[in-house]
Amino acid sequence: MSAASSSKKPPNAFHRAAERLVFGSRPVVLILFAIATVVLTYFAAQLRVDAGFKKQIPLKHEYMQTFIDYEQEFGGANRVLIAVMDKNGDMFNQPFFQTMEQITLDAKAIDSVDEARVRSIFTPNVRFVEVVEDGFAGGNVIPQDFTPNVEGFEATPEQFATIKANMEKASIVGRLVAKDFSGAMVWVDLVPENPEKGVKVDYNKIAEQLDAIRAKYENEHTTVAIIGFAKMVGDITAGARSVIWFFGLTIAFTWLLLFIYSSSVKLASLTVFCALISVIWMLGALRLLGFGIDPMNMLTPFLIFAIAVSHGEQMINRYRGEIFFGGLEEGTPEELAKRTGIDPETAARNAFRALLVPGSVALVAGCIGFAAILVIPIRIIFELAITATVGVALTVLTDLVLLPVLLSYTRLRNLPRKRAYRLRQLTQFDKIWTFLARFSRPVPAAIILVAGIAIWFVAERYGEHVMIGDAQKGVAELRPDARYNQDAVLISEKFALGVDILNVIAEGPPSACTNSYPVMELIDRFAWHLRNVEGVAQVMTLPMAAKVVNAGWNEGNVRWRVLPRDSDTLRLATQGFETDTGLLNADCSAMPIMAFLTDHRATTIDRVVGAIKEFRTENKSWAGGNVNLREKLAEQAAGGDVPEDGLNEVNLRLATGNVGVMAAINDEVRAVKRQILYMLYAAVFVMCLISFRSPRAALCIVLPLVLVTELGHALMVYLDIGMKINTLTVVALGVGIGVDYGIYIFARMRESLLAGKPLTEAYFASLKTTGIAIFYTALTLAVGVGTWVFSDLKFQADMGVMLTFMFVVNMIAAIVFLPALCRWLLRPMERAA
Amino acid sequence: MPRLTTPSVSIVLALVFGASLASAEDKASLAPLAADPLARPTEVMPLADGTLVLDIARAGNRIVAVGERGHILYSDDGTAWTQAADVPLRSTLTAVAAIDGNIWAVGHDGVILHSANSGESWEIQRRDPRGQPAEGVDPDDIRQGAPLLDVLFTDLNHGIAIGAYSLLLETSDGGKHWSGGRIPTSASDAAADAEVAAESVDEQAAHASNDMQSSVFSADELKIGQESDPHLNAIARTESGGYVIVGERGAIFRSQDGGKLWERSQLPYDGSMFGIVGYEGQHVLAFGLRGHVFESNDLGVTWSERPTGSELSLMGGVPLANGGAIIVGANGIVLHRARDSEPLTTSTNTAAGVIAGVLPLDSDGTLLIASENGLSRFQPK
Repeated sequence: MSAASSSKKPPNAFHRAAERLVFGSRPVVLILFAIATVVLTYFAAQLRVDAGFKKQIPLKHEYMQTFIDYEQEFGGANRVLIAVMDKNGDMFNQPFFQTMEQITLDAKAIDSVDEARVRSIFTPNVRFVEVVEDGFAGGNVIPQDFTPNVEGFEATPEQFATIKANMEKASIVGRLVAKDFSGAMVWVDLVPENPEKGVKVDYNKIAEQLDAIRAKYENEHTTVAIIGFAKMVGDITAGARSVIWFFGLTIAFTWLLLFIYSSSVKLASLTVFCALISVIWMLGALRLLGFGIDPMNMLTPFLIFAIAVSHGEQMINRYRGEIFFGGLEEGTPEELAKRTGIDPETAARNAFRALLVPGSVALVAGCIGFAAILVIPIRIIFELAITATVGVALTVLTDLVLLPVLLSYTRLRNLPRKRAYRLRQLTQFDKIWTFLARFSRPVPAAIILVAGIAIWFVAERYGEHVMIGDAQKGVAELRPDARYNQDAVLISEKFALGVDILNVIAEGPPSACTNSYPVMELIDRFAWHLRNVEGVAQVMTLPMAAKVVNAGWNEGNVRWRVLPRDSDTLRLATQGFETDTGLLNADCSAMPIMAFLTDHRATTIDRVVGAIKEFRTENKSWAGGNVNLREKLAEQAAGGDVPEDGLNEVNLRLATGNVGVMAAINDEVRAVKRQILYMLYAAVFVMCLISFRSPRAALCIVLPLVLVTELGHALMVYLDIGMKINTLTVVALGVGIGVDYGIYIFARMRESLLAGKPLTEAYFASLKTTGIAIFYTALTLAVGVGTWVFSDLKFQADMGVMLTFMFVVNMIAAIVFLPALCRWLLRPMERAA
Repeated sequence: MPRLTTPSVSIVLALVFGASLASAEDKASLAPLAADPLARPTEVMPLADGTLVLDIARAGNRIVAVGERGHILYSDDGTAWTQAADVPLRSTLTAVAAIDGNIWAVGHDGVILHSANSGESWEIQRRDPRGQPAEGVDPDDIRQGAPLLDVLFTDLNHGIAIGAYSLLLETSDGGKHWSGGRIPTSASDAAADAEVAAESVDEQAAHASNDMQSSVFSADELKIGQESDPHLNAIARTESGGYVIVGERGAIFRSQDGGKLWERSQLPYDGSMFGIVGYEGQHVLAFGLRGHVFESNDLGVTWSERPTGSELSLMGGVPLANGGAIIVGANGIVLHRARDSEPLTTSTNTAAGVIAGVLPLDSDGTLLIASENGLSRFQPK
């Protein structure tokens, strides 16, 4: 009988070569695997958590070119906010000011902090301007004689009154000082990451130092709230440590399910073992490639494990068929009971031979699919794609080489009892298989297809509303009740401004702020237009500040609050501003327009960005793309190529600030969210086309995936999960794994079809032999990721729900839609049995 | 048949890359900026009533307010504001005066605007931006391009507008023609002016060299003397028909002949006055820098100071019956007295910021406030 089953498909040259390579000298294979595992375990142990601000940024995006051009001069996007709040709601007491001064000093001492750009009421770059008789005075918000930390110093109510007045004059209320004077903030800008120049920013270390500051100063009087990318990375990394625990749980569940399914400790353990080997290899390979593991990528090892288990399960299934019944588990139980099993080595060889093509097709399709994501110019997605590609590629080795070789050595105990159990198991589900097999009949198939199209249409419509970016205060990666998000809510409630900032950089000729009234006027008018956009709470620019100073030069008479037209007076109004105000660069040829937004919802960002684009198009003030007009005009000016009325051009460049970064990411996500899927579909299609030599067969496998993906989008809308870099890839991974079900069912069905069986019968046979395996695979994977729902990280919990959904629904879609599609695409003319 | 492929390919591309094609409307184009960007019609913006508004006046049943960027707003109830769309320029407007439905607004760039239909549409009566002199203005005159800071109309035909560097313009045909220049003063004043002229040159140099952080003028510096061409900040008319103008550094000009000839005098305080209101007889009340308020009952010959207890500069005010007054200024300060015998009481409208103008709205004492943060209502204590 064993000869009969293998003679159905005479082994070709590829099969023979592969078989000789794997089974030719099994001990050598095992030794090689052992050595590789030892070496890669060593490297995997050295793997470090590695986060980067720039990794999340599409650096080639127009906005981010602006960001890179000006991060040295203006910084601002990678900022940490430390809010010090008085628990009684009134900051005017000496202990508060003591704490505030100390935290300002401590903040300057944090690693990778740009000291000159640290801002608080205690830093010299925060000043006020006051109008006095014929002129005006300026100074630091905290008077020099106010030294709360000097021994013996007693603060007086008069001093507090002065400080409060200074805060108002410096217009920092709502930004550095709470609206209700219940606290104040320290703004800490981190130095730009520049790996080429050896500037690396160790976010976890910074996060530790921030935690140390909180531990030191938070007490019964004071709350210290901290937000910013560095803190978020720290908190996510801390949360991600629980991933280890979940990993253990997943392994345990998987083993248990495999045991129940196979009734063999050995088979269950071998599958889990091989899957673990591929995860270890992947981690070791990452280290060898010079990567760390990003906190956002913590889930990839799970997925590799899941993929490896799902393929391993197919191998076990096939192997068991051989070892119990000497071939495929077709036919009635009576027939099967008469058949005899074969020895483990031949069984393993047969299983290997049977699964080599569908297994590698599925894995290579996944591989190519993940590799296709590489084109997206965001570093973190690049790393994820590399991680996943390498992991899946290695799974080919562990599942299609190591596992069969190990199985060939396996002697199952109590073979007759297990065989009897399997026989029962096989007939148990016959009713279900018979029912499902009906789906391949023409009429039910047509009904299913119509229903599928309807579901797809609805899901597509609903899924279209998937939110880009995220809407809540704080970050979506952490749970709403996480300290970080609580802090974010507190800060945005108390400060209103300074959390969501969009900076547009206006580039002009050298000394634009003194020589060019038209340039200043345009910037001012642009700021006014921006202020009028819904969602913009406040705008700050140099021209606005210059108008106030001009009134100051006129005794503070508010009727003089205009931009002077002549350059002498204009100079008088702007010369007092230093670059550390963040309003201009050294020769004021670049001036940021800082817009403080009410929130960072994608709709708000889109509205504001749209208004900016409209303005700059209407006013012909955009040089386009990544042109740096400042440099161009400076060259022109240096070359003496100046027109009579001066170089009065302005280039309004989007955008820096944290919202600028979000806008760029949203743009990129929007642009690629479809592209990634199309690339995946294409990869799956091409792989299926090559292996099954039929475009229609490829369609039968791809179309259910398309449906499930749209359902995934719909689920995101339903669960209010935003489409971000992190979530973008999950749907892609879902497709990569979901394709396996279809490929295995179809491969098995194709065998029967080639043997001349009618479609419904072939499908029934396919279900009977691989149906249980597929059902168990989906269940295993779903239970594994389902446990994530209890994770500390909201991101992980959301992904758990998403992936559980994707696994289960992909399985259902493969079982239900694949036969229906086959009926109408492959065998429309065949008469139903 | 092959022709059909082209559109279908582009349709597919549009479906696939719909997002990227949609953003193509953001076209790059760069052009030199106009030399005089304020010569264009004002822009109607949603927040025009929430930004710098410098003066308010009643025009018949309407209230009209003016402010930056050529913003002119009108309202029938002082709550809902309409921004006039038909304003031909964007200069900042500093003051407004009205005789029923006829309204005049003045401002920077020597601008005078007029509306004959209660503020709905506006025409330019005068415009004198720097480097583009108005008709009859000497291009080298210091007053070329100077801002106008106040305007007063006594009837449909007769009006006076005043501004920086002692600029005074008048009209007797409702603004069809504006004439004038340096404020016309009596002979003795002219001689005194020549004397201070020399000093003021040095002074301006000192002014300019002072850096922003350290420019606190000492008391001595303040005494340096009178400006030869002081800015004229505000004008008021009393019921006797006399005019008083207050200006820079305590400068006072008074006229008893309907504004033909002006007599210069000096306040007992050398700081600038930003506003003045007129009452019955020869009674005026002036206010300005650092909380200073002065009162005169002889059209500005003798003055007595009224204590305010504040050092905040006072920017605008309105007279009430019986010598009462409301005076507003920096940091939301609102001073009020119900009659001339009462002291000024202080209340604060913090949200308003620097207040430039005020108008009593209702009999219950609600005020309409014009400030750097726009138009708002306020109920003083």
